[in-house]
Amino acid sequence: MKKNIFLDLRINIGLVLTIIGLLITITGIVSSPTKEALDGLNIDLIWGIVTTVVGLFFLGLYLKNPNMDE
Amino acid sequence: MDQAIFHPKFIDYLIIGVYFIFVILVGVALKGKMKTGNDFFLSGRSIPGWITSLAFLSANLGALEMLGMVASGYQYGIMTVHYYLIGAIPAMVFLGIFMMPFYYGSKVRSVPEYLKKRYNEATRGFNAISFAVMTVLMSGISLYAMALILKVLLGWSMTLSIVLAAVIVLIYVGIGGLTSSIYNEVIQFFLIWIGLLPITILSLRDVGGWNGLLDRLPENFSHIWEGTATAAGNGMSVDFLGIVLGLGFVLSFGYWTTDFLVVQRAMAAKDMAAAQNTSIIASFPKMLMPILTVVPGMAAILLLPQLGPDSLHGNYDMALPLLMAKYYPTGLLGLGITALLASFMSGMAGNVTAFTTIWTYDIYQAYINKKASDKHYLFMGRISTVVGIIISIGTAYIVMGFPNMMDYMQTLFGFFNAPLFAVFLLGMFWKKASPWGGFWGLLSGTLTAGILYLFLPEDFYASAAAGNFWRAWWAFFAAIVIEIIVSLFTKQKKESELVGLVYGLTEKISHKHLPWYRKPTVLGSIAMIVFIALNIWLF
Repeated sequence: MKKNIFLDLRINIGLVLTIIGLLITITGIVSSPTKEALDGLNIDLIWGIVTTVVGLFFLGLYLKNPNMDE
Repeated sequence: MDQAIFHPKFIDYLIIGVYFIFVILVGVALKGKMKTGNDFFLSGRSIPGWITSLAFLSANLGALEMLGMVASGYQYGIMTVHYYLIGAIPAMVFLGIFMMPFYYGSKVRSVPEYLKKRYNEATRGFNAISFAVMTVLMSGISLYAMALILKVLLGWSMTLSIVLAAVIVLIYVGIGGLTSSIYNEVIQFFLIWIGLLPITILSLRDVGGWNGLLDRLPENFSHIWEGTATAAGNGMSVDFLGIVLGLGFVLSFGYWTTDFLVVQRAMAAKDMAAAQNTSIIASFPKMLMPILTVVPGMAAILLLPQLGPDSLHGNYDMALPLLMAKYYPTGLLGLGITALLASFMSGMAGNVTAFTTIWTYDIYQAYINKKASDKHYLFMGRISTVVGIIISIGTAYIVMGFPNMMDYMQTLFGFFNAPLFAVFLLGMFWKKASPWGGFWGLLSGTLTAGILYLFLPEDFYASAAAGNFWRAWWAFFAAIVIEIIVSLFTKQKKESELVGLVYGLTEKISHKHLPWYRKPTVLGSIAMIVFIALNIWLF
């Protein structure tokens, strides 16, 4: 049976967070937008990386055990 | 529009777009798996425990609840954590250890179906119809509230928000059924944590950390029990008895153990241990949720001192979005908005899936078309998804015309589950509770709640929270008393009919073969120990 990877939640969570995380990281690097309340802190860069790492963690969980046998 | 609070740029919309595409992909991917009614309504009872747990928790994590809890943290301080501790944890552990064996073990497909097996058709009918009406109205109210908030935040027209959200929910629930709803709830859970945690971190950084925050707030904002000897001693105007009996016992047990919206998630689990553990495992992240809600709400007292009860731009409910506007630059803002949108939509999807199941199994199959093929019921599930969403949209527009209706309905539904819990408690643990006892208990408890709501003067209770707690308590009490009296004078069911439905007549489940970390009693005890420790720490 052909397996649809979108049936696996680890893939879904992993991909959503990785893609969004990368978009935020790139925004942080390219334009480093800021807010008065942040005193120059590049929160996009920091949190973009955090989001990407969490996303990659879920993709890693999938790759380690693709068939979900607990 | 200039008036909007957020000013998202292209990249923010791109991030929101990524999320929408995934939501729909998940629904489409699940399409092939939805072959029977059981797949569509119960996920074929095949979902692993960690997934049902997070969905169980997320079904209760609608954006309205999130905004409301931040607002409550702003108004009442740390006492708001009662909603996450005594108002949730004991009930979730009780559901897992004591009640789930009957729900899952009896193979019922819904809460009303249990009532039919344990009591009679009339009890089931009353509960099914009132639950279906309530859920679909609630879904409409959330839709309206979402549109209103998006209008203030983003300047979107209300019609655009309502139609967009409704269409997306329709696509993923209509195609992928309960599984799709559950999957999206789990994705939403992680989006909420990732998307909102920076607010907590950044606002704590500005107020001098957790201890700095407590030092700068009034004394009664930093203790959860100390000021509750009298109602006047604390900001919420409730005494400890009201908290324990009203919130901790009746409201919380009523909601967590009988509301089909949450119980349906546990019923989708793959085996008995996973079903029991669903609510118990969910209790751990539940105890962490105040980090995202109560803490920023309290920090907002110092950071946004100008908030009040009125106008939407400076309303308490806007505390969370205003913090987001203060700290989130383009990019992160897209993630923050996505987290809010995700929780709006999965709240609505949860209501729609619960409505669809009750309508198809407990109203359509029970009274309209008893002997159709499974395929027909699957078809009816899809049709009723469409109809449920159309009614929600209609409700949203009605509420738009009469905004006060929202408050009335939310208050009324707030204690709707209290009498139902009474009926379940007697039904599961007292074998002499009779079929008509159950029916009259449920009816009279519900009427009591309604009468107390309509005829007590508005200022009878010191605060809205106190009013909810005590009304729920009396509705519960009335249901218990009436059910016991009627049961003593009407015909009881034979014991042989109650096997698997009542405690004492059901074989005890053995989990001896499981490792300790999958035993419901072990996990439940750990949850209770953490719960008690947190109460002592915050006393």
